[in-house]
Amino acid sequence: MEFENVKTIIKGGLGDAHVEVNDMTGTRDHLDILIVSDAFAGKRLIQQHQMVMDLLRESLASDIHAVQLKTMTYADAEKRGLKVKL
Amino acid sequence: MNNPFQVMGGQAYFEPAENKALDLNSRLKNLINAAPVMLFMKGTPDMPQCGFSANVCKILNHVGASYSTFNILADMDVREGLKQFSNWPTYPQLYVKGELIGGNDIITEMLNSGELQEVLKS
Repeated sequence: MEFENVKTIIKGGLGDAHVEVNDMTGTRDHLDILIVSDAFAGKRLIQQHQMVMDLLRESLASDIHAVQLKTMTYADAEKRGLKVKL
Repeated sequence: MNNPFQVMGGQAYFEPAENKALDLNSRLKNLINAAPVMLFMKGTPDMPQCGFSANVCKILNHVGASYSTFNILADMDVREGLKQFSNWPTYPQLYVKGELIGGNDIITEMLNSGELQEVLKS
């Protein structure tokens, strides 16, 4: 699983998403993914994660063993001092 | 949580035989609503069988919640069924008033933001 693929899959579902993928173990199958999107507005964290996991489901079954998600809206990202752009 | 006589902390839920006899979906619906705060975990609060389950118990104890638990290791139907039912692939799973709130990562993040305390209060 190429990181660019993960980004493409997520952006395919969440058009405005800013996506950062980190390889936690160096083996490219335990990923730490940051997703910033205004599609998350007003949703609980669990629903935000479910939206992303639904998009990743097919790749997860085969290539990725574990993912850790961090999801937030652009307003949240700004509050946390993260520098992300559309 | 408003009842001063209620014991804080987690207690393993005892599922009645009538509930076990129901079809899986009705059974799961009843289980997630068996207590206002219901944790599906590996093991029990006294003897968790997984670090993530242990951590969620620790968090719930820390915020002073009283909660019931279901040991998914002891029941393969619930273990597999609830993943499908709730569209969430892993355990632990925390439910508040029948609504899935999250697993270890989400609960930890919600503790730090204060959102967990809000959800438990409501």
